[in-house]
Amino acid sequence: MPTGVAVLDRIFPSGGLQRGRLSAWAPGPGAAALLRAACHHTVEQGERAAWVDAAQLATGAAWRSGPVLVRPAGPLAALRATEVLARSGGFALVVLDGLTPEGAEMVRLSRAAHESGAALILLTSATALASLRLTSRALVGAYGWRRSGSGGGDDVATVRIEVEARASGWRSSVELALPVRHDDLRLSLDSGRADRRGARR
Amino acid sequence: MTFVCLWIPGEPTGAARAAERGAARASALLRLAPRVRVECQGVIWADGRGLAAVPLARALLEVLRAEEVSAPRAGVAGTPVAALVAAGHGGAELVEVPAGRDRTFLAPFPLEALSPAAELRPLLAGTGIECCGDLAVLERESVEVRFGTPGVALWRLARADDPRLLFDPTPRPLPHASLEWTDYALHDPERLLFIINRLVGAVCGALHELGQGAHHFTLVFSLERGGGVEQPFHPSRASADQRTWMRLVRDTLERLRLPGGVAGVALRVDAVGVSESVQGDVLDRGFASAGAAAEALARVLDRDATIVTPRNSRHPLPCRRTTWIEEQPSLVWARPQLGPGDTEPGLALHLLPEPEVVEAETTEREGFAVPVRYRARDGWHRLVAASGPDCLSGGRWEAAYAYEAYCCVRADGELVQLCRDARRGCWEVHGLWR
Repeated sequence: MPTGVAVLDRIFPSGGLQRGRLSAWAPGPGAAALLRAACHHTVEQGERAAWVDAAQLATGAAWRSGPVLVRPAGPLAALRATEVLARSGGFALVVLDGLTPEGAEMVRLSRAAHESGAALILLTSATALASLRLTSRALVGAYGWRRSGSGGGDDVATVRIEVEARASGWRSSVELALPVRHDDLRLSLDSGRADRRGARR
Repeated sequence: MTFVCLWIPGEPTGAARAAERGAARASALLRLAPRVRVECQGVIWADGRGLAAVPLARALLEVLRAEEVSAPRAGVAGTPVAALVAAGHGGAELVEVPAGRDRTFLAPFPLEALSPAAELRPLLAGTGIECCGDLAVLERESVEVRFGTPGVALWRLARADDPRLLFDPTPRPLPHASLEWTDYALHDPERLLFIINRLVGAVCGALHELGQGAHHFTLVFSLERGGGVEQPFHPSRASADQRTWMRLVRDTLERLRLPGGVAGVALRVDAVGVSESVQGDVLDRGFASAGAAAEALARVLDRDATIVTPRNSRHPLPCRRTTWIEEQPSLVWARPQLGPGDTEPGLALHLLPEPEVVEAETTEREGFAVPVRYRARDGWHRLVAASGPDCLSGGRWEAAYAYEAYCCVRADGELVQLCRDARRGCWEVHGLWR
């Protein structure tokens, strides 16, 4: 299943995220961003994607409609929701964010993905049973900067990250630059300048 | 024999007084008849369908006499018009129109018994039509040509063709099923589930026949020592699926503790809705699997999770900007509309569920304290760069806030939002760009 990011798809053994398999992506710079893009690409292709937000980190301003966003009440509800969605066959891509499953839970999730043919991605450092293991890290010193309107230091415009994919007998990596989306809702009338009202001088 | 018409001769027509009297009589009559309708000019209808109408009419007349009504009369017929004429013009206290003889019964009565419209009276008199039988034998077309639409309505009444709906259809009772046993009491959940499964099957089958699903159903456990325990269930959507119900029941029974053995189980449906039948987009690649996706989301909703979409305001604070709207499983049938650039990856600010208070070391820059490193739960983090601040303050009339927000680059490459709470003077990590 292609992620929609061509340079990233080239490092995967099957040209994309593996259907019917459990993959683990260690939390790091760019992991959630690339998976969000993959979810939207899946939806754009006419299939369905679900994002189980176990830690309730998704922010309204950053979330774009398309994938189904599930907010479970706790860790157990998150695991159950992930298993149900992965097993249903109605979702091509399921992402579990903010929770690290234990051994038996990993087995159940892996089996659910295998039965339905869904690509199940866990944003976790635990890689047991994962057929594809991904890590991403920011390349320190390779940031892109832009002049800040407020004069308070430059803003980070892009981050260059390295994504490494490991599978059985397979290891590949790629570097790619991701833009940083800053909050654009400021009180200043000048869109390029931050509001300084109320600040102590 | 379905309609019982009661007529009270000489009933005054004063609106307020008549309504008061009618309400009092209706409550008295409702002790005998299942449904009663009070009309003006002393006419009261009683629903005799499924009952012995003549004894019912006699009993109703007795009730009216007990209410000090003088000389009440009653007519019993299969059509309202025949019952009305029988009561008003029958010439006896109780007139019964034999089944299927309504038209024959009406035939000798003058047309005045049908209360024709005022404009019809001279026309009817001019053609020499005097009784109901004379009008009933005419062709519809000829009546329509000569007397118009009011004439046709009168012609239908003369033929005992009365389309009036005096009583609304009786609502169907909601499906229910129960089983009781006396020789023993059940303590084994598995055996209890076996019985409940049969009850659920019967109720779901009944709901399927009605094309409905239950929004709310209740299991009632009768205990061996008397009393009972009611356990309500609220499926996420109207459902008549036995598997869905049993899944809910099983999940609940795992946590339910009953104070004694069970001697009976009853299942009743409390609220129903139309079973969802959503029409999807056949050109959608996911159309074939939409049903499975909707079913899965319904199961997710039943298990302590919500499906949400954000609704954003223009509040300056990201944490107060979003209202999460709960969605239904049927959302999978709609093809989502993606915006431009949605498929492009980019780091976006994700907020922590609660800001994490940290200790920060700062340096001075243009009058602001700019963080250079901070200590969180996992230790010290050196900051390579910190841009900002964005000064956000307001909320005087709600919850006041004043923050200096910095976008910071950590030495390990993470981008974090570090804020100084100007009101409390502490530093907090609000979120990170992921």
